[in-house]
Amino acid sequence: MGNIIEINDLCVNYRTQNQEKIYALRNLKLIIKKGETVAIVGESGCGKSTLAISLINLLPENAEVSGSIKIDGKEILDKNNKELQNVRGEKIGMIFQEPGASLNPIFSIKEQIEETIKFHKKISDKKILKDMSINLLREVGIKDAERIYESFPHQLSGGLQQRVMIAIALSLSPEILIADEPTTSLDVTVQAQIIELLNKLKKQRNLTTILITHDLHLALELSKRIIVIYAGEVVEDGYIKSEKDAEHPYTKALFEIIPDVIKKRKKFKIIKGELPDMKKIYERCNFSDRCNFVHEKCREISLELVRADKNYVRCLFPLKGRKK
Amino acid sequence: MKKMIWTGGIILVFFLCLAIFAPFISSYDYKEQNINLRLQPPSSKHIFGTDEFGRDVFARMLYGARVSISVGFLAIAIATLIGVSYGAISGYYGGLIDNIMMRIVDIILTIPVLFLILMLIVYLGPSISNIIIIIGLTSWTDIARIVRAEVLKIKNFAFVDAAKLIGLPKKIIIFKYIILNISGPILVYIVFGISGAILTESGLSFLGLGVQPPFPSWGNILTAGKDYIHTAWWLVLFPGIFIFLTVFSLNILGEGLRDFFNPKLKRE
Amino acid sequence: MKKILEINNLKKNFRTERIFFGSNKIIKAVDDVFFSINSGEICALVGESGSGKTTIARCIAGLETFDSGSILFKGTPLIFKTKEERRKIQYIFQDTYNSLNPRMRIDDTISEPIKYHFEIKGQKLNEEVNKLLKKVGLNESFRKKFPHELSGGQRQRIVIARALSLKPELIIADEPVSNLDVSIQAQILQLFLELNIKDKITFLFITHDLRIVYNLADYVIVMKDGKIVEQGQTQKIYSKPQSDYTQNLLYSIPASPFKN
Repeated sequence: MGNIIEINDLCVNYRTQNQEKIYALRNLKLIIKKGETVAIVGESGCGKSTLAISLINLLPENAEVSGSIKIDGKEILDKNNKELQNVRGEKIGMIFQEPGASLNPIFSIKEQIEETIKFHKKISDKKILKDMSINLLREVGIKDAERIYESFPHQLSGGLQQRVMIAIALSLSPEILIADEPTTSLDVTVQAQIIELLNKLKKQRNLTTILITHDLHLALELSKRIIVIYAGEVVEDGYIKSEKDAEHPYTKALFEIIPDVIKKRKKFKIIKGELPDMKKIYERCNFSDRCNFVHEKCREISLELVRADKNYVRCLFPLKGRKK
Repeated sequence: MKKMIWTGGIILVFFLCLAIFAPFISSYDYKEQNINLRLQPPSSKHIFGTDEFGRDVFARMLYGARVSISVGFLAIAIATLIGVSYGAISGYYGGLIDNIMMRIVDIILTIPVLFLILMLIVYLGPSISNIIIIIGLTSWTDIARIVRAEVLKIKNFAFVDAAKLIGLPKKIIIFKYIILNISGPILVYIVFGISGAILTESGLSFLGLGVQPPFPSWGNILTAGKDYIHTAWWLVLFPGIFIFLTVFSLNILGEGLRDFFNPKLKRE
Repeated sequence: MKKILEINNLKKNFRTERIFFGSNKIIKAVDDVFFSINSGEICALVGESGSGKTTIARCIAGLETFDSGSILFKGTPLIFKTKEERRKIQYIFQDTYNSLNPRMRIDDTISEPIKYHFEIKGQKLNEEVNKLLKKVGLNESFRKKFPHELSGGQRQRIVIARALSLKPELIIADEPVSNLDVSIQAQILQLFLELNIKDKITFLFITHDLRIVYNLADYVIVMKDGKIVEQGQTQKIYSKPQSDYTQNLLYSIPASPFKN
């Protein structure tokens, strides 16, 4: 299978009002194969959302981008806007954290789904449009699709709104689906349903799925390949099922700090310290200040992403493989 | 945004300096008449020329600035005091109190303000203090509404609940926790309000209902000049420019401050 | 064990605003709720959005009134008439961004309640503030800062310090970590545990996160649509959930071990 997304040396900086720079992504490299499911895991400010909007080239005006993003071999960073619109709808569908904020409150669900199809596919026959829309709504697991089709966003629960967003994202049959924290604003039971739906859709449609989340366990539910981002850099990339597979100390720590529900501990393991200042670039391991396995050398040189045991890891002393 | 604040601020400070240091800037007295020198065009001796009584227009403009600007500031000081307390009480207590207080505002807003002012002045007589009080008493409704809206928003913030949990008295909660946090929008209103009040005062004086001669105000200098508009252009041009620049500076300062306090434009 | 809080028949309805001629809708936010908390325990109130858990918490803290029922604090109804009564129940908020007055320095934020309740001044006040900061894992350098200069985790620590300054006996923590990053969450949760064990503070911990509850709480109350679905000792609820809803919640935990 070929590569559908190739990202090379992607750097994104944001200029702040005080003329400072926030280095959101730093020399990011990432290759995603066609049909693959990938979960990108990281804490807030680590650059995971920046990565998502870079893929559809929707970065805000104060962003500076360098490097390359190729989708199906075509560079998207230097395209003009018109061509991009095709990439956005027809190649990539995207869903966001707040379904309520992504839907336009003054239009019915019907209008919002059909608008996309009309614009891109140049279909104007009302009957066909309706059939397509209702089928989409059924596909995303909405049972009374006919009623939802006529309703307005505020009449729907968060879970239904997110399903509608997924239907809109799929309306142009994209090859790639990016889900940026799709369940963060939803209740746990609804979250489970949405993840189940995404799991079903990716198989049925053979979608290349990119899940962006802060929740490592949620990532495990959907994806075998996990990419952990810390301070704008990929720190671990590989097939991870549990704590045992983690090769980077940060990944291991992420597993440890999330409380277990099998053995009651009455003590929380912690990662000490705060998240790094994204306005600074250091020539060293960004996690070294918080790492339990830190070595003097970690603070002296910056690292590349290299293979440790099975995974690619940005660490001088990975937990597996490359032992001295 | 910063440019607007700076430009507006500098022009405003310039006019404030003219008003404050009037006696040091011009050696002429604003009411000293000299019939021999009536309606002189601008010259090196009288840089803005002289009026129909031979008074130095520049001196009158400087002292007029004192009157116009202080009317603006003091009238809005009154309006702010009333409006902030009214809006804060209405918004903080909410419910029935809020409903009654806001309906009163609605009723006041149905009265055409200019006619109310004109009537009151005719009744009370035009004097500087009356004008200040009347403008102040008629222009607090806007700020009351702004403050109420902001209070409604802020009073649900967790830090206000936190103050209640400490058990702090309502007075402290309203001032330290709520009003202090809406000082931005209040300041913006004050700036726009002053500009409006200066315009109202100029208008009233122009109609002869404002500041009475021989006291100068930009409005009545303009009125006096309108009879000579064909022969003595300087009598209308300079007060016009002064009013324009002051109001303009206040307005762009207000715009700039509004952007400055708008959290959406501030985000990184 | 002694009961610190008893809640009987608590009811609270909300009425939706009527628009033109539509009828008022009554929403039963809290519907006949009974529970009690033992002194020194951590009690978790679990439920999804709209389950009424925050409303109960706000009623207990006196931030909201209730329609009927009673809330007893150490056997007497809460009316918040005295300063003493006021300070004994404190609240930690979910919204880390708005829980501190943006115009007040941290110093003022923490010392204000101390000054108001204990009439301590000068050097003693100074020491007290430093002690509180240390307790929540911060140092003196934070005193001069304003809230916007702090990270979410640091802000939440300050909120905890402010609550502790009043020497409360019961702290209600309403989703205190759900706005924080996972690596910061664990730090704050550990802090709660320490306060419970060392300072013997009773907690009512409101959350939707069942992973946290399992490791933190002694007692769990599960709520849905204003009603209590199930309550009991944590171990019991997790090993033998009685209601379908609790079971569903346990299944829905991401990467849930209960599924198999």
